[in-house]
Amino acid sequence: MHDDDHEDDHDEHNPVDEHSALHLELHRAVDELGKYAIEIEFDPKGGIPKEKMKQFIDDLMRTVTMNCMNNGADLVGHVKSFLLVDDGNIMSSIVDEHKPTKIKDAVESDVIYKSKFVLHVIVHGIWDDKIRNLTLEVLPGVCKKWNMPYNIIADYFDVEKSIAHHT
Amino acid sequence: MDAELSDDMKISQIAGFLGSGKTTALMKIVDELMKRGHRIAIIVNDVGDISVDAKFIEAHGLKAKEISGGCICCQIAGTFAETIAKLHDTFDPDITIVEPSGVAIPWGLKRAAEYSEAKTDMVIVHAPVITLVDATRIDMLVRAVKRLVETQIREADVCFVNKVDTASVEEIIKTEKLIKEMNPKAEIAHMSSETGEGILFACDLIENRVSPRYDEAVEAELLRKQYSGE
Repeated sequence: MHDDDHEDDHDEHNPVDEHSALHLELHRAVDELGKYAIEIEFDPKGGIPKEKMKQFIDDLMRTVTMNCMNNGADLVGHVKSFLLVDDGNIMSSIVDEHKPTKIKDAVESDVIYKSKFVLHVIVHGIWDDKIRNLTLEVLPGVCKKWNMPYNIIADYFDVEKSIAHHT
Repeated sequence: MDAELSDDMKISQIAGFLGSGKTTALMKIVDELMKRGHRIAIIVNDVGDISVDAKFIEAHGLKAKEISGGCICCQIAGTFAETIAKLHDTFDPDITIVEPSGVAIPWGLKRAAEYSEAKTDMVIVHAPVITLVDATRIDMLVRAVKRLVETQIREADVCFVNKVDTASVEEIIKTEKLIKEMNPKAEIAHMSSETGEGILFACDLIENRVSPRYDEAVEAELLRKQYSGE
């Protein structure tokens, strides 16, 4: 397969402009999903056992999800994360707050040192800015609880376009 | 134009709402189609500027072309068309599997794919539109995002009731009933993205069947029915 370069999101010659607004009208009707993405670096001093790291990820994702659900969201769209380390990754997903977080562990070693973590939160019923606030509100507390030093590398709130916000 | 490039490219879209199991199903479908000897390209549209789904797919050992910044069925249809044309000219897959965003509309994606024909010497052929419906939370979906779920079901050729390994019999029956009500013409099958149930059938569909090309009149009729509640 070819390279996986990120496409430029600027689309100056979008041919959809030439077409009927009917399709877009429906899209607007379902445009009730908010989302937020953040990339964080975790650097636990001396490393952290992998199993403990998975518990931390579970706690973080679940806390963010429940904070959204307790503050206006009425449906989890998809809360998903990807933790990248030198020898693998851990993928996690929540689509229903009443069910356990699905975690796929593909890390070889038993101890995790520095890692990069992407969290993507999509819920129905509240908007992007509120999801961002609700995420950042609980992040310090969960990290403190697990003694996990963190550094926010990228906050995608300012650069992401909303899911189906057609103008 | 390279004379060895094929004249057509089959586009297969795996539609479905967020969390319906699209990425997991896609990875298994691609594995199987590659085993069958196909040259497969993958396009993932995760709408945000960062694609967790693409990372999932790459962690599985596959390469995915990410298209970000909006929904490929409309907002960035032009970028999608450019990507397909470029894929044809450089990689020449016989099948391109597209995982649209969880809010994409299947007929819109067909139209966007066909724009690529103006950019290179190629004809787009559509595989049956596959829509995955999460049986484990059908009630929640219908309550919160009924219009979108209904659109994705109405515009599907085949609906897979997904997560049958964890859904109750009652949930599966309810999901099937809902699909029949929304789209009586759709074929209904079961899938478990996790266990692999239904994957071979999905591959057979992609390999051997085709779906009609985009027709504005058909889409208008589908939407009219939806708005009128028929």
